[in-house]
Parts: sequence; structure tokens; C-alpha cells
Amino acid sequence: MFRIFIIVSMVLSGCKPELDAPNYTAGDADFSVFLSIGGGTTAGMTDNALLPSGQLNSFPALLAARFQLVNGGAFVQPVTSLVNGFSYDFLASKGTGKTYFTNKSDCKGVLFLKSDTLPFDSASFRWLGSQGPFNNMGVPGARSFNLYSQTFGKKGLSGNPFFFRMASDTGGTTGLSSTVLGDAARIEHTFFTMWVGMEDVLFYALSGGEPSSAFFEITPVLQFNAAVDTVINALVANGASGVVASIPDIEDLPFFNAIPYNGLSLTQTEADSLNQISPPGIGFEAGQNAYVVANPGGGSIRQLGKDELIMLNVSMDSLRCGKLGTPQRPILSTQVIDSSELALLRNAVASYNNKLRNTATARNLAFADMHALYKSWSTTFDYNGAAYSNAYITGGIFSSDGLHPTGRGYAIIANEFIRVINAVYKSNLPPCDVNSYAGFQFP
Amino acid sequence: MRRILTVVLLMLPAWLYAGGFQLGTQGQQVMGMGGSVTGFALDASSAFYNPGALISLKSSSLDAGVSLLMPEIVFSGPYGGNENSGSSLALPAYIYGMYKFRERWVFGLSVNSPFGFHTRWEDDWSGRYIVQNSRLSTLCVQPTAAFRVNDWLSIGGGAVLTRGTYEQQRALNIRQGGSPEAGVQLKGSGSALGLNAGVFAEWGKTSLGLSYRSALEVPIEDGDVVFNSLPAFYTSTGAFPSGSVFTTAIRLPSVISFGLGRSVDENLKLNLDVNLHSWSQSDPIQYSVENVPYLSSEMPAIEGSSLAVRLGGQYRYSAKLALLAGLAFEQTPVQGGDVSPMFPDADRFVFSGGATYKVKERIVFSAALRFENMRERREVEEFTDRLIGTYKSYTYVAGIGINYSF
Repeated sequence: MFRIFIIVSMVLSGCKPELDAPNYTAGDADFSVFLSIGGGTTAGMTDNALLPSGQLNSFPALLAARFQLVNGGAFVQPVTSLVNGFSYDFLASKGTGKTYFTNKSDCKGVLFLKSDTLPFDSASFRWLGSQGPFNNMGVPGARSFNLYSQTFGKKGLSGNPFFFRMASDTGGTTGLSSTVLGDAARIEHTFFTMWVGMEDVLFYALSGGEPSSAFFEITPVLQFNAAVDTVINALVANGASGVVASIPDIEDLPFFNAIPYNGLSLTQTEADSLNQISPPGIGFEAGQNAYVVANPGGGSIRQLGKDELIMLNVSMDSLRCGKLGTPQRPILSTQVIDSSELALLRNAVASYNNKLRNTATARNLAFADMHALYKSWSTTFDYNGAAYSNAYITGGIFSSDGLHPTGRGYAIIANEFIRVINAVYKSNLPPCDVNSYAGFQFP
Repeated sequence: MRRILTVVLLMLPAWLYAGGFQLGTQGQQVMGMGGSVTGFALDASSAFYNPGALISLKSSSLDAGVSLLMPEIVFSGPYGGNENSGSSLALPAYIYGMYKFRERWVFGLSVNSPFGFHTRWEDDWSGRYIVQNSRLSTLCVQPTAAFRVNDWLSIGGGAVLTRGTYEQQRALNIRQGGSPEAGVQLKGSGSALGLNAGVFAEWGKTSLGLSYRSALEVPIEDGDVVFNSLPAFYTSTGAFPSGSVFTTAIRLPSVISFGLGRSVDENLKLNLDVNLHSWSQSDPIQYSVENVPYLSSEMPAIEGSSLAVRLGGQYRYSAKLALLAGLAFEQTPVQGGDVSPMFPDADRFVFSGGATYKVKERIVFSAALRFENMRERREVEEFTDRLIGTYKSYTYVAGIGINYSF
């Protein structure tokens, strides 16, 4: 009897409830050939490197997957096969691998995550330019005006190693390489995203506001504006529509905001002994104190102000235990963005974003306000029960480099693009399920 | 070693206890009739549905039964796709012993599991940070007495000792490379005492019943909290202290039921029931874990009442075989857009059928099937405990029982 009852139950439960899928539409947009142009965030940099996992989850790839629900076509990316990932340190002019974390105990026995970088795997590096044309023309390190540079695809210091690996012509015969815009045109796109400008300020910031060469200067606003006009003219030349995105402020990236200016925690005794060796104008008390930084050129030292940023490339070990940030061992000025440098960066970003927004309006394109989106991440928000913010390590949006998003961060970005695309082009593409992508990975 | 005591305030949302939290499996005959029995003297399960009707039992009896509940839920988020709930079977059982004493009295004891739910989702589903598995089970022990006041009126009542157990499992948005996602499991139990009373009246072919079950609040204290797969970064900081406990309260609403029974002819009896569930909870519900922001949320208050209307019939086909059928509409108290993946309740239509078969003079077997079709329900507001998307549920129930009268 009990067996019959079980069988009857099983038969009954064979019928499961179902919900119909919504009918997705492209609206006014033709997503059939999608081109994405921009810098490292467009390329899908994660953990400061190009890795298959990051590239396949790049926000353009996520958008392309939504487009394919309607009239979208294939989306080809120059996916690296390097196990360590592919990256390039522009400050040290050398190839590297991805950054990663290890658990480490500091001198007080407190566990923290120590960042390290894998080496560049030059033996298996390959030129992928023959596999193009590519739909994802995001090139880490590319500034606005680099996008039509005929040396950008060359090997060595005159070019960009990220573009060199994917350029259709690296300039071997003529001495001039193909350009990012030129290679992009080969795809004959119908829809595009353009997210340029971040690299136009980023290298200045990474140099701590002390550019060692023109490469590390902020792109002058007039030059940026002209470059945007050139790029957008090329992008809309064949009648394509698309989205122009603004760029975030430097201070909204964990690389620049994770270490508080007043992170020097002292007891009264420690403060007293530091006060004895401190020059006039520098003082400490029990509790949180502003770190000490060397002024450019060395010699004099001062305490950081509230509006100044310390970069994540300082030694976390030394900051915790090695007296870094005290008068005995001031933080280098190249690892700090002081208030005047920050003002320059903010002004440039504001001017660039004005230009980008006006361009979108003038060309009847959608505008994705990434500046506002990145800023909103300073407040923790919830997605299906998971908390996200721009907090370094615990926030879930940024990867170990503090500059580039995790897979989930890219999904949040993709969702903002989808939101504005749906609004402007009257499509009804579904968002990504943010929590289904790779998040921050603890060691 | 000093025990770290973190109190987790986990208030179960009162609105979980909708029509659906009542399992309706306290008797197979009643289940076959769509739960419509307040105005009808059917069997010993009246100890639960209306103690006043117990007096109409023809003799003393022993009843036992078990049911298999299979909820099937599907969820579809804005990102599309259907996500089905996993296997979440429940096997509530009951035992009733009723002793008829000098025609005017019935004394009895019942043990059953009238309330509960079990919602299990796949471990990697899109709402896993809210809930993967949520389960409430109860065990009620009710000593009961019924008394015949005169030839048409009887009354009955009992004290209800309820033991409630709640367990929940969910993922945390933390992952160590190469390991499964971190998670948290909560489990705790508590007890409470309530009241169940009823009046039953009968004139010829018509009978009336009125019953009342008091609201219950089952406190759960010192519930276990277990964190799994946390990376060293979190175990070392004490952000998720081991030895944490959680405290909560399971709230069950008061229920007033009115039933009207009518014998259409020798063989056909019909009953119409109306149940009114009342909530008094009006404070916002706190759901927080000290120092663990991942587990914090606040849900809006719920108060008011919900209605269920049930129609059931019993048709005696032969001396040995009787057929049962029932139909019910149960309203959810959670109106508007609030629906939680822990227990995605909705208005539901209930269809049921069953049969009793007298195998021997004193022994009757009973079996019943029930199908609940819950309305499609859309959550549009994002709360920490909710998921934007659409839910649709079926519940399948099958039960068997045996009655021995003496």
C-alpha cells in the first residue's frame, strides 16, 4: 500500500510549474555586429591582466550575449592563452602576469592579504592579429588619441603591447602599424560602445602626479576633445548607433581609496615617542593619525591631509609593521596623490565627461553614466541578498588590482549599459544575473 | 575557553504563516474533502479542526496516518530562465486516540504536525544568498475533552503544546578560490502552549460548527549558527564568530472557523467552511546578526487577516466504500508585492479527492490526494530578503491513514 502511494505521488509530481520567457525585442537598434572600443575595462582586465576568465566575462561579451537573444551576432575577442595572464607594467616597462593574493600574518600576528604578481610568460606569448577582425577592440593602456595612432600596434616602446598582440598589421613592412580604429572598421559594426578616457588620466595618477615622461601626463582637454570627435566620427560613419560612456573619478577606485589618509593607529606611548623625533608641524596623538609623506624631491616631510590619496602600491607589510608613514619612514610622494594633483585629475575627468555626454547628445546616442555608477559604489548596495561596494577585497566589485572589476563588477557595469540601451533604443533586453559571475576569490 | 555568544535576531516573517503553512494533513478524510470539516462530525481529526464535533463520534477510536508533501516552485528572475525548487519532501504524520465515555464525554489525545513548510532551492540558484533551504516543522500534542451539553449542542477544547523547529541554510557571498561558496546554517527549536476550542450543533440534516485556535508564538532561543567554508581572511578576523547563536520566534496566527454541514440524502454529505486567520504582528521584523552585516535585513510589518473558503463532500458509494472530494480557495495574507523565496506564498486553489474503505468491521483505510495551484506572483521591490522575479507553485500531497474503532 505504501509503495503504491509513493508511486502515485511520484507520477503526480512529474508535472512542474513553468513560467514563460518574456519576448525580448531589439527595439530600434540593430545589434547584428557589435563593436566595443575602449581601454582596459572594455578589454576585460581582471586582476590587472588579460585572462580567458576575465575576457570572456568582459562587459562587451556580456552585452553581446544579451544582444544574441534578439538580433545579435557572433562576438570575437582576442582571448589570451597565457596561463599567468597577460599584462604590462607601464611604470617599469615590462611584461607581467596577473596579480594575486596570499594570506600573510603581519608582525602582530594579524592576517592580511598580500598582493603579488605572476611573471610574464614570454615563451607562450602569441600574436593574434591574424584571428581578427575582433568585436572587442578594448586595449588596456589606450588613450583617446592612441586609437588612431599608426605606431600603436608596433612592438617595443613606440607601441602598446596589448594592441601589438591583436593588431592586424604590426608595422613590420611599412614601419607603420594598423590603428585601433582601422582594425575596428574591418568588422563593419552596426552597434557600438565607446568607453574611452580612463587611461588619459590613469597614468598620471599611477605616477603619483609626478610624470617621468609625456606618457604619464594627463591628456590636455582640447586634445581629448579632438580625439573623441575623431573616434566618434569613425564609429558612426556607417550609420551605426551605440552608447558613449563617461569615466569614473580616480578616487572611486579602490587602488586610490583603500588606504585611509589617517590609517596610522597609535597608542599614547607610541605617539609620544614619535612626537619627540618629529619636526615642527607634525604631531601625533593616541588613536588614528595622518600618515607622513615625503614632499616631492625628498628632504622635507609633512602629514597627509584629508583630501589626499595613498596608492595600493605601498608596502602593506611596512605600513602595518615597518614604520612606513611615520617620520622615520615617510611614504614616497610618488605613491601619494596630493590635493592639487587630485584637483587636476578631477577637473580633467569632469571636462572629459562633459565632452562625452555632449557628444552622445549631439549624435543621438545613448549615454552610460559610468562616473555616477562608480560613485554610487561608495555606498553598499544589495543584489539578490549579496552586498556589494567599492571596498577593497570585501566589496566584491573590484578584483585584486583595485582598478579593474571582477566578473560580477563587469555584470553590474553591463546592466547599466543594458538599462540605458533599453531606455534609448526601446529594446527590452534582460539584465545579467550579477551573482552568477565570478566574484572576488579569497586565497 | 570563553564561549563567544553572538545573538542572531532572526524573526521569521509572520506572513510566512499564510494559508499554506497549514499543512492540512491532520486526517486523510478531511484532506479528501478539501479541509472542509468544521461543521461536520467526520472522525477523530476533529480534535484538531473542531473539538466540539468529537462528541458525534459513534465510538472510541484510534487513528493514524502519514502524508507526503511535495512542493514544486519555479522562479524566474528578470534575467530570464526558469529555476525550479529542489526536492523538498515532508512527511507529516498524525495519531489520535479518542475514548468515548458514557455518551456525554470524549477524552482524547492527539499528536500531529499541523504547521510547517519546506522550501529547498538548488544550492547554486540565483537567490542562494537569501535562502537555499528553509524548513519549519511543528509537533503538537493536544489533550482534548468534549462534552455533550444537550441533544443538539456539544462543546470541546484542548490545550495545545507545540514544539517548533526552524532550520535555514543559505550561501554567503564569500568564496575561497577552489572551494565552494561560504554558507551559514541556522537551526533551533522552542515550545509554546496554546488553546483549541469548538462548538458543534446538529439539527436533523443540518450541522453547524464554530472553532477557535489561539495564536501561538514559539520562541526559539540559543539556536545553532554554523558557518561553512569561510576563507582564513574571515575566520581570522572574527567577522563570523563560531559559537554564535540565533534567537527567533515562530508566529502562528489565530484561526476562527465556521462550518455548515448538510446531509443531502442518505449517502451524500456536504460541508462549507470559512476560516479566518488573524495576525496581530505590526512591528517591523528585525533580521540581523550582530557584527555580520551579510545576515542583516528588515522586513515590513504585516497585519490583518486572510480568508479561506472550503467546500467538501462525502459520498457513500457502498457499505464499504466512501468517496471524498473537496475544493478550496485560500487567500494569502501577503497582499501587494511582498513575496519571499523562503516561502513564496500566494492565493491558491485546492483540489482534493479521496476514499475510505472499510476492510473489516472495525478497520477503515483512508487515502487522499490534494493538488494546490498557487497563483503566479511577482515581486517587484528589492529587499535584502527578497528577489525580484516571478514565482509559481504547485503542491502535491498524498496521504494514507487507518482508523480502528472500538
